[in-house]
Amino acid sequence: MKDFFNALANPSYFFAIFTISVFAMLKWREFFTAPKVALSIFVAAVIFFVWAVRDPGFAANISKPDNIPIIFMLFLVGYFSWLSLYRAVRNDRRIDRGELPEEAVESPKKVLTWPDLVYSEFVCMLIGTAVLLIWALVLKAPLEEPANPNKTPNPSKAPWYFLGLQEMLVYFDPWLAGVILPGLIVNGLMAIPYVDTNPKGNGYYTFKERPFAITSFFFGFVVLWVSMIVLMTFLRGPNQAFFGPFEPWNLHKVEPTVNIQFSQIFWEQWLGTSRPVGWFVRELPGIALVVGYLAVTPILLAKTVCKKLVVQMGNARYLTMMIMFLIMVAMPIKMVLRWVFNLQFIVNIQELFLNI
Amino acid sequence: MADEGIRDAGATFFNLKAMNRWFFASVAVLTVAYFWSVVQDHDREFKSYQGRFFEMERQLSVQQGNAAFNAAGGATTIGDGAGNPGELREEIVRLQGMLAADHDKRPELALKLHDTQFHFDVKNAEMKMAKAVFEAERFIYEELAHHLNEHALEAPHSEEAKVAYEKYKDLKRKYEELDEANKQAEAARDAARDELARLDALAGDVAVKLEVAEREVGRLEKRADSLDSERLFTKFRNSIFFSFMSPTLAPKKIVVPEIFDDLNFLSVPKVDMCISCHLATDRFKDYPAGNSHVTFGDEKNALQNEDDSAAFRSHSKPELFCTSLSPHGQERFGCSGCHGGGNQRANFKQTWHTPTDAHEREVWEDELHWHPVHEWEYPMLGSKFLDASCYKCHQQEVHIQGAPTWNRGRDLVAKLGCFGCHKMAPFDGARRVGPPLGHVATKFSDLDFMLKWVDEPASFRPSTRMPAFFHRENRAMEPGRDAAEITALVAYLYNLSSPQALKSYPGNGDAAKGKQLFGESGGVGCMGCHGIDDFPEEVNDRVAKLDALRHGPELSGIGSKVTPDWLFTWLLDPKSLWPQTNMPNLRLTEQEAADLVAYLMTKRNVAFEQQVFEKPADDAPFEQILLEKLTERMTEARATLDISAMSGLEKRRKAGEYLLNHYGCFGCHDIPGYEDSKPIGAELNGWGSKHPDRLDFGMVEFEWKNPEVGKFNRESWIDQKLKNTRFYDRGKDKKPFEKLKMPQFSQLMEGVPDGDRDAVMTFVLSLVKDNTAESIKRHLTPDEAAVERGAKLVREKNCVGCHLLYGEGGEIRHFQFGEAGKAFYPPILDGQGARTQPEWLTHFLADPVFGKGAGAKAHLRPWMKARMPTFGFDQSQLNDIVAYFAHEKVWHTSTDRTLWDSIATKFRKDFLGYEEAQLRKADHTKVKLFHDLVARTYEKQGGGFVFKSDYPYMEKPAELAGGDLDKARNLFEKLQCVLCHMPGGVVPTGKSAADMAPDLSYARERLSPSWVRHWLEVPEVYQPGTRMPPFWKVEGGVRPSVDPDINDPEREMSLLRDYLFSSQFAADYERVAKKARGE
Amino acid sequence: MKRSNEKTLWMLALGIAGIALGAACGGGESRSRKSIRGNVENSAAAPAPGASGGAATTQAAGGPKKVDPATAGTITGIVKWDGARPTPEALDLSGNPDCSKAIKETVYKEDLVVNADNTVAFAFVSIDTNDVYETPTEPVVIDQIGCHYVPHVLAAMVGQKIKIKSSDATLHNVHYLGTVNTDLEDNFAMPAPGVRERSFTAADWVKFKCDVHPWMGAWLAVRSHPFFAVTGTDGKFTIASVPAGTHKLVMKHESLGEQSVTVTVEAGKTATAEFTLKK
Repeated sequence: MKDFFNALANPSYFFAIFTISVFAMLKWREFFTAPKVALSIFVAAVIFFVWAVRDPGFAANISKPDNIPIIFMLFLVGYFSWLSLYRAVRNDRRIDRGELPEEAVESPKKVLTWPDLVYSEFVCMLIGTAVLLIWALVLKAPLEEPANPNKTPNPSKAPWYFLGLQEMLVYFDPWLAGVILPGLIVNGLMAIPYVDTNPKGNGYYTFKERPFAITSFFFGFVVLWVSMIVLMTFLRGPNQAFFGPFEPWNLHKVEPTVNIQFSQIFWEQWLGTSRPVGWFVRELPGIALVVGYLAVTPILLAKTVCKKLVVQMGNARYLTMMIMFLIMVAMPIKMVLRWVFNLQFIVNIQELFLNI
Repeated sequence: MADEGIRDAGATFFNLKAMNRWFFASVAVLTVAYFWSVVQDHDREFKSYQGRFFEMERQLSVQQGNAAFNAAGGATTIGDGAGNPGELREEIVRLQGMLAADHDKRPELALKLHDTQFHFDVKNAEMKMAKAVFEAERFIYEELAHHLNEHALEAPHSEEAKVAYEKYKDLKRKYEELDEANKQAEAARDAARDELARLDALAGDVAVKLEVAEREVGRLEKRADSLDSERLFTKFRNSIFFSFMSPTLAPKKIVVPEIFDDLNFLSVPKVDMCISCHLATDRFKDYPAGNSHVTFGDEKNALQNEDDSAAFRSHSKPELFCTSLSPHGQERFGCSGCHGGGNQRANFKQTWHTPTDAHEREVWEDELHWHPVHEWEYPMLGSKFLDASCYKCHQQEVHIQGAPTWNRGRDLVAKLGCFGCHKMAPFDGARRVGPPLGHVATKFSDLDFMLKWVDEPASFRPSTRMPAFFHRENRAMEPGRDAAEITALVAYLYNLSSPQALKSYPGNGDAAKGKQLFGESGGVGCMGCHGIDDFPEEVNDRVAKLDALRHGPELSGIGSKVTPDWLFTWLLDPKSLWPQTNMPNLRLTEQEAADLVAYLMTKRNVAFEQQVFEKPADDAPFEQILLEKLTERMTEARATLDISAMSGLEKRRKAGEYLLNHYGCFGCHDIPGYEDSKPIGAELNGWGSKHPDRLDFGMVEFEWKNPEVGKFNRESWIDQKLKNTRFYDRGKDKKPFEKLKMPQFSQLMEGVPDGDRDAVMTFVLSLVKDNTAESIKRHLTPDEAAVERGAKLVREKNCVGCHLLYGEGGEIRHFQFGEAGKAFYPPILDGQGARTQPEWLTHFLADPVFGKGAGAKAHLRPWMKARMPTFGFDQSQLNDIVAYFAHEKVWHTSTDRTLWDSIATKFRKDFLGYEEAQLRKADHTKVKLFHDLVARTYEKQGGGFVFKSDYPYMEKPAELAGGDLDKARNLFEKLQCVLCHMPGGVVPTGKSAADMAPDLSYARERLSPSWVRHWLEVPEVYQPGTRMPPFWKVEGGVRPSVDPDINDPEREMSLLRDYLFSSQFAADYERVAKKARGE
Repeated sequence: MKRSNEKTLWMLALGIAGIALGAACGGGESRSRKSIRGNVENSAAAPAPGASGGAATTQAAGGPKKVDPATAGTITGIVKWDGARPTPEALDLSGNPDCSKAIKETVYKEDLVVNADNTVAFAFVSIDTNDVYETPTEPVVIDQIGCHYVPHVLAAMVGQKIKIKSSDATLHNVHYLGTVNTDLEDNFAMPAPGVRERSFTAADWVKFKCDVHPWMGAWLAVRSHPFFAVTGTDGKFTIASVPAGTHKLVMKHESLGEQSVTVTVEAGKTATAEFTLKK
């Protein structure tokens, strides 16, 4: 049984299954968000979890004080995804029937700052402090021995919220994964109000009225960010090698990792000649591919699928949104290329330290 | 549809009652959490220890206070309450008794004083009046007499003078009467005053005694109160909220600025907080000492009663550690400097205590939640290896007094030659331990011997120090490989060997005489270093373990090893064959050498000779070796081409050369062409602070890292490595030349008693990175440095093989048989610096004149069989040895022996385990330690040593003349010293050579006068068990005189000593001896 | 909060603190002071480990025993020699003229003396018991005449005075070592005729020797009871006033070892015992 899950934990299977199940959940949301189904999924998850904790390796990993927040995160993400979709489905039905969404009915236009806002905030603060204090008392974070710079812990992992970023480092060159992509994530979030022209779905749960926005959010946050945190926490052991959730972390595990560049594939495998000397000519196919992907695909899409969107948003908004969307999609593509073809960089210009 | 618009005022979105409930609930939870955090911070581990300890201290102060109170008469005021007896008590009672009896006399005495005072005043006044009148009258009479020319004032002639004289006489008489009365009155008054003063003094004396006792009782009371945790004020100070002000239960720490921890390239001074729980470390008078695991000849204290805890033990060996008097005061050295462990913490778990055995580990885990500390590489040193922390300060000493395990470790490393491969600071520049291999062809009887020897040295000589390179577990999977490698190595060495000029053995040796020379009563000296099966070691309780530390090789199989010619040349002059050898020259005559060779050649190891060494049939294995080596740098094709070009012999030699470089034989042997090649092993300087991650644990790393197993540390790694040097290759697939190649030392293997392996481990663990300030290191003064250089030589040249030196060595004694054998013991060298003159000792060591054999002129001890050999010291070595003996700070070289003895007796009273009988059985470094510690106080109190005086260092006694010379001569004859001290080696009939005593004619330029003087007084202290009778033995507290016409023992002894040193002595000596023999 | 309330509050707080402080450190005799002066707690408190408590003097064993003459008997016996009588070896004293001058008759080696009637001299016979008896006042004497100890074997009781005489003009050094208590050793010179006194505190078999004249030797047996004797020139021994009862009689010879036999003594009667020694 454990070996099954260990096998399942192979990154490509894990990532593929995770993405498919998220999209499936979005597609058949009526079915999945029904309380009975959601509850049964939740119970199944808890049972799996309890069964998993009996394995000492897994338990040791889980009970590490640093990993406690990740468990909360998993369950909270699950709960709030369900909550939002469940409310969205109910509102969509009401909108189909021409009624106002539930939020309009529940809350009056205005509420009093005291007590509603301030009082409730105050109580939340109290509860928050109490939880934090008890958490600190129970799970001690002692001042340990002074760190020894000569001895880096293996595996050395970033705090849990940066694990996604650390995972990206495996696939991209540091300047890209460390600077450009996080920058884009932040800029993308800033750009949303300007790019999003759709007036509907404002202030109430809905899915139908903003399908594209919600799916891309789910894909960006749940599929990319959360899954990578889970992958990095549970499935990566010493020397950043892949370990199944129940596989003991053996320091000496050796994985067949080879770095192949796209220029090698293009010149040596496809054309059978040795790679040209100059870096520009050598990397030309790679560059062409990247430029094509970022420049050509938006135009193609504009002509075909997103014709309506272009009209709706106007060229400027459409282009910014589409480029950012394409870069986000580039992440999984790179991961798959890595796992399947061991492809490290599409563009590999070591001379300029420029790799994509 | 609900209407939108504003809800009426007061309506809230949330249900207020629910919000209030939530509010109160969360406030309650938060308050509970807050108090919980305060309590958790408050209850610290050290507080419970300190609480228990202060209660014990309080009871101790109460007991001591009560004892002081009782000694002071057990009464709060004079005269009341019954107390139990105490010496101060009796005196006070006696004084009180006298006081009580006189008490009512005091008013009467006062009255009497008053009357006598009044009476005296009256009489005094009358006397003064009469005196004035009388003196006036005298003047008048004297003038008159002068005027009347009366010469005899008492018998005047003229009538007028007579009348005046009568009047004058009458007044004079009256004045004298009154003067007499006045003196009597004064005497009476003085008597009364003294009487009263005595009474008051008595009262004052009692008061003073009580006051002193009262002050002592008061002090202890105050101390007991301050420690009393029941008192409200103390409770308040330690209470939960107010304990921030000045609590009595508080962490205590010692900052040690001179010893650092190396953290992040920053050396942080150690801050030891151990004394927060270990509160009685320097209180050895009040609390029992801790367990010292080193069987230092004494204490092993089990816990006494149930509330006794290891934390409240005083430090073991208080004379050395913790107490302010000891050389390692706790305020300056702290604890973790020596013990290791995590400092800057005040709880049991995080200071990384190391359990000594599995049982203690379980107890700690259950009771104290002990667990290995994550990420701290310096756990406390196991108590077996505690000596390791001495070296980081004592780097200039050969033997550290008080660290027996380290000393043994150092001796083992010096003898086994670990520094041949591993670079170590203490042994830089040390001589290679193994014999030179430059002339193996001429030395060994046959090639076959060398093959079998290199194959398995222990099969020829089990006690050999040559480690086993072959038949190791990680080469078992290559059958025949060992044989090939050995053949190649030996072929290469034989090729390097050059012929050596040897004296040929004449062949006329008599084996029986040789055997007698070698071993009878210890032999001419061979048994001091060598063992042989014909003369088994005679075991008695004091025998030192004769094992790996035996100086020379055991010779039971020598016959099958070397050629007679080689042995003959070697015995006559060892340095001619091996210039750096430690084997001295015994000045054997040719005949003696021949006899010894004849005897030794009969000692054959037949079993070893019968062993057959199968050489490889063909060249294949050698080609395989060459291939492996060459393919490291070239392609296989090219390598096979080169190999095929070689002849069979060249293949063997070339393979041998690669193997010699691989195994690093030049580390221990001088091999031509490899004189200055570097050691091949890992450098061990700083190994003691190496991080376990840097050590290759092989396949067991994952298993040993598991906290239950807890063996992922330096100690376990080196223990396993020494037990089986190829252990960490298990489960690894490597090419032959990549495999581990450290040879196996049989003295340190599994199954051998752990003592030696622990000693070597302690030594290696002591080589830590330098984290101590120069100011705390033990810097030797020039004299002490000379002592250390001498000590090094004494061990390297194995003087301790024959001579006993402060309880160490004297191994030849174990071959002197029975009671009679005692006579043949070489002299004890304790205090040699005070006994002999430096010039004489230098000449003697350079060329020992006394002794039989070629070049020996006369004989100091004619009966001795063992000879003082010629070591061939150069001038600096001679100076070092003479300086070593002269500069030693011991009883013998101290000038003020009464001061030394008083300090020594006080030291023995204060500290455990230094009684005479205990010292004899204890480890020899303890004897030296005792001398060092007493010398330390002795010098503080101004004591001096022999060597401190300037040139000529020893003042020769003045030449005797006249009466003194005759007295000395008669005394010498009367004491009949010549009966034993017969000159010229003559043995009177009825006595054997063993009963004689040294020849006194050498005393003049050999002995130190002050030593001789003191030797005559107490010979048995200098040489326990000596036959020399003390002529002036103290009988019943009085030292009797032996010669009536001198009748002063001190002078007799000095006269005899001066006579011994006078120029007349030589002539008389011969005459008296002849007379005693009745010629 | 009105100003007055605030003030009262502050007064209240200060008051409480004052009282608490006062009670804590002040008045009344503390328990330690009471116990130091009144011996109250001291008897109750458990003795602190390691503190030097009063030494419990062990009760002295029963005083030395006395023999009741009414119930006492005597033991007599003889030590026979089995085999040919070894010829006594004379000692050559020529090496030291003072020795031969001091004594006229020749001196023989005495480590095994067999008398003319085939009986053994210098055998020490005693009862094997370590009861303690009165030590007699009169001393035991051992003399050094003509460079040999007279008598060769002697016995004394624990604490009895032993006079060590030297009647020789030559130098002797009395060097004795205990064989049971190996730490017992003494060595003093007697360059001229004189007497020294010694006594021994425990039962032992003390070997006397002289380093100047190696052939000199003597044995002193020390016992805590008076029931012992040394066989003389007739090989016989008698032990008087032995308490009735069965005893183990032990015969010890310096070079031929020990033999023992059990003997029963009745009041007023004489029991006999016999030992035989051979090479």
